[in-house]
Amino acid sequence: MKRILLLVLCFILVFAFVFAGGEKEKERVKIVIVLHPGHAEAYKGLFDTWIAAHPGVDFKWVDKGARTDAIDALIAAGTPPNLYMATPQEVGRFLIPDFALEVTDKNVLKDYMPGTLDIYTREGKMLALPMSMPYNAFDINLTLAEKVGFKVPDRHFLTIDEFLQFSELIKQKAPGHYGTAIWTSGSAVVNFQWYASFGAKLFKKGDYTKTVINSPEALKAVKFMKMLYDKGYIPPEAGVMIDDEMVAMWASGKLGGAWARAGGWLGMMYSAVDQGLLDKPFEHRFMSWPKAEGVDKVPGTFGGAAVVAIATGNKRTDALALDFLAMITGAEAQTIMIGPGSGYKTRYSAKQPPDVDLEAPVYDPGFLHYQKIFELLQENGLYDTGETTLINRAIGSEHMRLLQELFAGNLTPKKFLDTFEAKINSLLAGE
Amino acid sequence: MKGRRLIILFLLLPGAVFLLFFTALPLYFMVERSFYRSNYIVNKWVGLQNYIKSFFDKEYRQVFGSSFLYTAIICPTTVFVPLFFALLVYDTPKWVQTYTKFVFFIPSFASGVIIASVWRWIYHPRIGLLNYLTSFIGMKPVTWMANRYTGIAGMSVMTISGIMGVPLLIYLSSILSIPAEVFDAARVDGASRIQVKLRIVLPLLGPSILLVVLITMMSGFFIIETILMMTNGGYGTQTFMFNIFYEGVDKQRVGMAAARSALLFVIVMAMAVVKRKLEGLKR
Repeated sequence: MKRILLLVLCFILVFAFVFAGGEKEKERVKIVIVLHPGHAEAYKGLFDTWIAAHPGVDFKWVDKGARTDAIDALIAAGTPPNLYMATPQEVGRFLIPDFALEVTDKNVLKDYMPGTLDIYTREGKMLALPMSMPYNAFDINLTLAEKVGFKVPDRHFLTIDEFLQFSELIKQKAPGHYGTAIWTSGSAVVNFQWYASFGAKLFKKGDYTKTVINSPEALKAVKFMKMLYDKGYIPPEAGVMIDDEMVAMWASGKLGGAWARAGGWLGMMYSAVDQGLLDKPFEHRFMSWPKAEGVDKVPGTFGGAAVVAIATGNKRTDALALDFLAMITGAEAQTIMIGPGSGYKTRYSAKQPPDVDLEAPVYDPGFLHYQKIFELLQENGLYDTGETTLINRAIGSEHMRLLQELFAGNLTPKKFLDTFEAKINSLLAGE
Repeated sequence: MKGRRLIILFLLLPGAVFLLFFTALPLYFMVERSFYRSNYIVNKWVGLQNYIKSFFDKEYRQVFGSSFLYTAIICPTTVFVPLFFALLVYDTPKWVQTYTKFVFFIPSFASGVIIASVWRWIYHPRIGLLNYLTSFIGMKPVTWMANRYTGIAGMSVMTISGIMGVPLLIYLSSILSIPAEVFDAARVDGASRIQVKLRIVLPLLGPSILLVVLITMMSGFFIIETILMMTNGGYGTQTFMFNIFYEGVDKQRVGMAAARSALLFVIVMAMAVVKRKLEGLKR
């Protein structure tokens, strides 16, 4: 009897030991995001709200650094972050299925405006989400147009022929001024806008295995750029010009039409006035880039940032990362960052400031053209320059070098395109 | 004895660890990476392909030529121009020597980017100082940076302007260390000032000249920020170092950049051997 009681007691003790511990406490999950400190500062409120809504989750942000040092170091150490916020090119390095988490939330995806998600798709999977983004439009100097006797049409674009007519008038009647500028360093990828003007594409939608730039439309664009140089419609130093010099020329009223943005850029014009380099601010209007005959829309180049979520293999962590991704690229986050010079919304649900009445007692001149440019964005869409390919920067650099040779007369337009196509394909193949 | 050895080893340890982690290991990883096609994320073993491609790459051969062209311009100029001025001013009043040193050193006080910005204006085809000056002799405006040879020459001049201070100091210090009796003896023998400079001072400066040659003989290989500011590597003006930056950062061809870094290392080592032989001559 004693033995039986002892056995039952042992059994109860063992049973209690094994099963009476209750549910194991869930392991704490850590979510780490690499981003610019400026963004961390701007989104602090959002971070705090998200953390409060997810008890049991530790959150940390890491300074992105000037280039890709931080993310490279973390990956090399075997401790990749859960999220990475950076430029499209920097994020593009990680758009690898199974490495990046696929965004499948339909509510999130349908909130995005058309065309804004295309460049983050690989093998049919959405692997990152964009934030707000700046957009490039073509700014026409109305004061210069009036001076040389060019009547700017009321519509929001010039045809190529009209632009050439404007440039010729500038050349004849305004020495020291030019129709536009083409530069060959820095943000030289904006020069691809001229391909967009002629309906030429760099890549087929979603296919970054090869370029489609070597087309009849692109040939027209290259011949056009060569003609601009030969006829003196662009400054003769185009082969070595940097974008800062182009901006300075625009701000000084020396260009008939140029890449420009609302917001901070206007400050450069007012600065030129303050320094006595310009008598008074010039009248100007934003348009889409000039259109060649037969071209319907001229998509614009853009920039901005995006966020990618990196897979860990842990379902709970990955789900949290995707939730954070939707939050950090969501309407509220976009609304915080958008404004003149800093971009336009990519999500329908984000709020965007309207134009401001000039007659109002207090206004920000940066908003004057903001809404207009947004209309151009919605109408024309985005031009894919391979922003998210690993070789985006190299595309711009190679294009720049070939433009230099084209302007120097060392390459024909056809040879230019053949060489450019070969170089891009070689880079895409990782050779 | 054993204790002494241990102490020596202990004292050498920090330096050895530093060398290991900041020199030897990075060198090893650089060479290892050169056998891969890599963009940091994906690595694929390709063996010697990066090296073979570099040897057969027309653009890289151009980089090779450009780097030596830079050096061919920079090295002799940096050796002989300060030498000329050192011989000119060593026997002038102290304030003249001080002023000369100051003028030679001014460019080295500013950052390379600032200096490049100023030179961008000097070489500007429309509003630049150089074209303005050449217009007086009937020359049409030239886009100086839009050509390989004028671009390399122009950027070499920029580099030279920033590095001539040190050779001048070396020469002047060497001249000042020549015993006064030598000059007295020359004066007694009736040598003129020019004869003293050319027949006595100049030969005695032989070791200093060699030192300056050794310092500047690879000067053209490592120019990078000047090229970034002036031509961004276009028109065949890239140096070894710029090309490595371009391959690794712009093109994300990290393996190729590592291979070219290794090739540069070999070239530098070969020149170091030449340097050792020249140092032997100096002794």
